Amino acid sequence: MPVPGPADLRALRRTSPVDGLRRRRLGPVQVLAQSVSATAPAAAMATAPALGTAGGGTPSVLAYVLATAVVLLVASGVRQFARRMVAPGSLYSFTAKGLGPVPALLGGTALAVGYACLVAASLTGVALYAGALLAGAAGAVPGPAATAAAVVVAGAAVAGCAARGVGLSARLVLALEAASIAVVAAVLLVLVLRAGQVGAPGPVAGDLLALGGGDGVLLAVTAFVGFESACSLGTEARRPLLVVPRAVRWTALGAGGLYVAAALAQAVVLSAVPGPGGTPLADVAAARGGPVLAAALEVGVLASFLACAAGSLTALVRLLFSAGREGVLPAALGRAHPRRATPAVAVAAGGGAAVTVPAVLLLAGADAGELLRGLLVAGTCGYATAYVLVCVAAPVFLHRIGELTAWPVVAGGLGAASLVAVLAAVAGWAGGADRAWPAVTAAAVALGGARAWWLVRRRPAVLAAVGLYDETRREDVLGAGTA
Amino acid sequence: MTPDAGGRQPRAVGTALRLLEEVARAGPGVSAAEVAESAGVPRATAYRLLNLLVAEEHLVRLPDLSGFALGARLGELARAAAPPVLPTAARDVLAAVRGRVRAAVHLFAVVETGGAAGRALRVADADPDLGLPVGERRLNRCLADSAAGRALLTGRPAGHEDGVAPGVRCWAVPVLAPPGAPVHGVVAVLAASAPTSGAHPPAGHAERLARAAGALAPLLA
Repeated sequence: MPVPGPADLRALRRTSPVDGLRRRRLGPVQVLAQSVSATAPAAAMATAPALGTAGGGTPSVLAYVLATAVVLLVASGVRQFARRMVAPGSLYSFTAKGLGPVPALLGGTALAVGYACLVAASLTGVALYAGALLAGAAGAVPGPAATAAAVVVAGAAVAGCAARGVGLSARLVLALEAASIAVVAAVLLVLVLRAGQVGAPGPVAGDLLALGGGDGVLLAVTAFVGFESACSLGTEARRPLLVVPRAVRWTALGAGGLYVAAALAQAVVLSAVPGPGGTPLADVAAARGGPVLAAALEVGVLASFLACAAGSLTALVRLLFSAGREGVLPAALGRAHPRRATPAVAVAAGGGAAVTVPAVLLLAGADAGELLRGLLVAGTCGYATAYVLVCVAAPVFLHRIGELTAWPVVAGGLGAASLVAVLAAVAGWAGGADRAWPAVTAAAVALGGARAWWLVRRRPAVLAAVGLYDETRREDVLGAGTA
Repeated sequence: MTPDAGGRQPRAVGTALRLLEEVARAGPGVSAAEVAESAGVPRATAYRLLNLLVAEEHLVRLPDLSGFALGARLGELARAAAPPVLPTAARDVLAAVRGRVRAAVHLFAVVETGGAAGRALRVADADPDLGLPVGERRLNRCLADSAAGRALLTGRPAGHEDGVAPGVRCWAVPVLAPPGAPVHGVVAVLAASAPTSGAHPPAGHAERLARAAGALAPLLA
């Protein structure tokens, strides 16, 4: 037991371990914009409920209600950390503070897979919807080379923005997302009204409540992932312990409300449609609302996907940056651009990987719609794994610092248990070409585990550094002085 | 909705201040449970309020994440209340510029207040003969309405007529911290005021103020 007594303030650091990032610059709007853009509610509203029906049937509203509840439990755990520490590595560093370095490496790898897959999926989504727009305007359906080229162009643009620095475009991102949500909502409303006019049969109550196995809830969770990504901007935000948890909570709550409403609307709209293509809602919009309605929807979804790619990449590069600083990944990843104060090397590495994978798969002849769905499934398995670990880590962390109360134990236990159930259902879910995607995530996490094992054996000092966070510095403490 | 005077909100404010005092009394490194116990506050309430105080940066968590200490923001509050003290050399610069400018010349110190506005002007030296056109509180209520406030907000010289003080023409220059100083940005504002009815200030007044501001910079930062 350490002897209780006044702490030695001279032991405080003068500089932050995450020096190089621009500290305390971003306002609450920019932090909220990060979470909102990475969640991309407009794209998710338009695509996710329909994705759940790719196997046939109606989008399940119950799946969205359940997913909202699970996500709010995860948000509660994330907020326990976000109110107490600032870490650009977000859930990775949080897990380290609760469960130690090895689980952190597993969770961090899973989260990195999640972010990278979301960047790749969003870029694929951009290409898919740009192609649909082109097909609507010119009547020409773009081939795989053109789609792959669109992924590369969009990826380069997004990585360019990330290398220049976040912040300059936060208001634009929020405005675009709000406009996209409005467009998607308006299109859904029009389609619901038209469906009533043409006398579509309407959804069956049983269909609304059908969960469609673990993949139903998993796909519903897909729509939320990224809500926690405001954490990655903690170092760069003003009053981070106030604005980051707030952004996390409001993104989760707001997205939940939107999705439940969107799933209800789509259950009505899609109930009359037999076989959806890559962009089912847009197809219905074109069939029932005419080309203008379809184009409006596609532009809105495209903008939302673009923002999602940018937001997910922002979070991914800060995770890589943290791991680079710790020595878990090559140190170059932990280098910040001297003038722009962004993790430039991590942007190149993360962005490069997220562009190359979908571009190569598209060139190899993969269907863009299938690829989007697969990447979303793989990514969400990654997020869900990271969420499980952070749910377990929160009460352990609170116990360690002597601030445990009853609610974090309940929330963490319920959140972890329900996500484990979803993941187990996905693992056991047989059939379909999608089967391979969760295995990709599992393989990546196993790779993270192997790295952890190697570090345990060879570099215990590096492992001890895991959980890097933006510590209180001398100048932050009254009386510690700058001398 | 008006806050109810006898309900939980005033009690929460009182409790939060008590926790703050408890951290100050116990010294850096005190844990949440210790603070809750010695302040006689239920633990769940204490943890929630301590997190709020940390979020607002009145308190900070030490690197072990379990110990608390007073935040630098409280120091800003204390400094904002203390009257600014001018070195003799700075008073000499002011006396010299007052002799050469046909207007009242005032020096405002800039203080960090930590609030939403962040910064405020404090009268460091008002013209002894002519006095301030408006009071300090009036000035800080809307900084953008006065020449001195604009010089603070923009960091550039500003001029104003009939703003917060009708019938008065003001112009102000910021005193900028010289490179290499421990602080940066606007550290003070040098302002001049004259009645709009009087003769138009001769050219060269603005330059004299700017030169005086340049001379004050190394003395104030």
